[in-house]
Amino acid sequence: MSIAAPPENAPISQEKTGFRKGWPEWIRQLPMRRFPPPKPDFQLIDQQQLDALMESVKADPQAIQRIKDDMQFLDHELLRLFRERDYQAKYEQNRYRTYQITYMVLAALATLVGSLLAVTLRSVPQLAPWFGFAETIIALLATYLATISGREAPLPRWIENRRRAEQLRREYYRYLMDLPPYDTLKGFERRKTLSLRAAQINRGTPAETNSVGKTG
Amino acid sequence: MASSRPDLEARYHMFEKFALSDQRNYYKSTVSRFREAAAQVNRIRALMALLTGVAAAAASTIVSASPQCNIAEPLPECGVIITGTSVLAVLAVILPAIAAMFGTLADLYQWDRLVTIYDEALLNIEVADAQSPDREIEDDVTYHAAFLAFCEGTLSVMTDESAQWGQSIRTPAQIEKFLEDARRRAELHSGDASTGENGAGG
Repeated sequence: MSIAAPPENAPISQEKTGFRKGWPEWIRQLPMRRFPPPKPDFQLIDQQQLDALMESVKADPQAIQRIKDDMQFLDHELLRLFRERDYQAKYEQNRYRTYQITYMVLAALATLVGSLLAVTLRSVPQLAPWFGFAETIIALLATYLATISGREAPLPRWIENRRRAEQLRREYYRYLMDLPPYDTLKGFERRKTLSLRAAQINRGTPAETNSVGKTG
Repeated sequence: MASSRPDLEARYHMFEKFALSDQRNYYKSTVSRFREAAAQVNRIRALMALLTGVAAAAASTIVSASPQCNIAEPLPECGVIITGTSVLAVLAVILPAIAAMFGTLADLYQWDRLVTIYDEALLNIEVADAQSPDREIEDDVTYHAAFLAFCEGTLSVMTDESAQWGQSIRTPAQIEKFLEDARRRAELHSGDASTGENGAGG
């Protein structure tokens, strides 16, 4: 399937653009069989778009340089964590939906076999044991899948990774816009606070506050 | 750090384009995609229900209209009628199962609920946008205050939307029940009660 260029106002995302183009929307949202690899160079802010914007608003060259310095630091300290979390969240979402849709198909098959069993019980009773056998196979298959998916359950992993990725995204802008707690800090202290907060978010420790004191 | 006016102005334009506008585009495109998917699945479910009714009604009409074929030894010319009613009877069984599958799909994706969440986020992001600092503000302190309100308002919308999204994701009850029934049936045959303990989360 061809990969189309994203439309100009498409949201910034690691997702594959143009996936299942031309298919009904509900089919486009079904899980992928082959999940694409991560994009190691993914950026929340495209460098070329940023340059064009700064030029169009006639931004101060020194301000642009400071922004670029911040972005360079963010790339190493935060963005790499965001990329991993964001990718992992999408991967687990795909896994979760794959399992759930398989269960749905099995449930539909079980209903179908059960109904056919009921319909044929009086007219063709010799078929009943075979329908019973088919129902048992479906139940065993569902139990097998539930057992293997339960070891590293995708739903909590999807939600947790997404939560942390979104928190990292907000922290990225918080640092870049010099919002609290970064507004009162300078140089090394400011950078250290970002590194610490990003690491805490990535670990799962809440850092969604406006002051240094609350997050440690 | 970013206390000078030129610095704040540059950062404001950046935030407006890459954070607020991007988020707005995301909400808009998601609402549109989810509405479309929900409508398509709903149409399929309605179509399945309609076809089930038609199949059941047609089977019943054919049976009533052909009494000569409803006897222990039907006439040879009844072959087509018997095959036809059998096909219709099977369809009346298959179609509701397909409709139920699409019902579970809608429960799994939660399109309607998520559309409500993103619609609300869209309205809230417009409120945040309304606080954007204006170039005409001469006083730097006022400009900085407006800049802060604008950025914090947008980040707050993103936080709220994320929290609501997390609460809306649930495994459909039908799948939980199916897995529970399957586990019970499997236990009858294998005698192992420990299998699939965490399956509902999968």
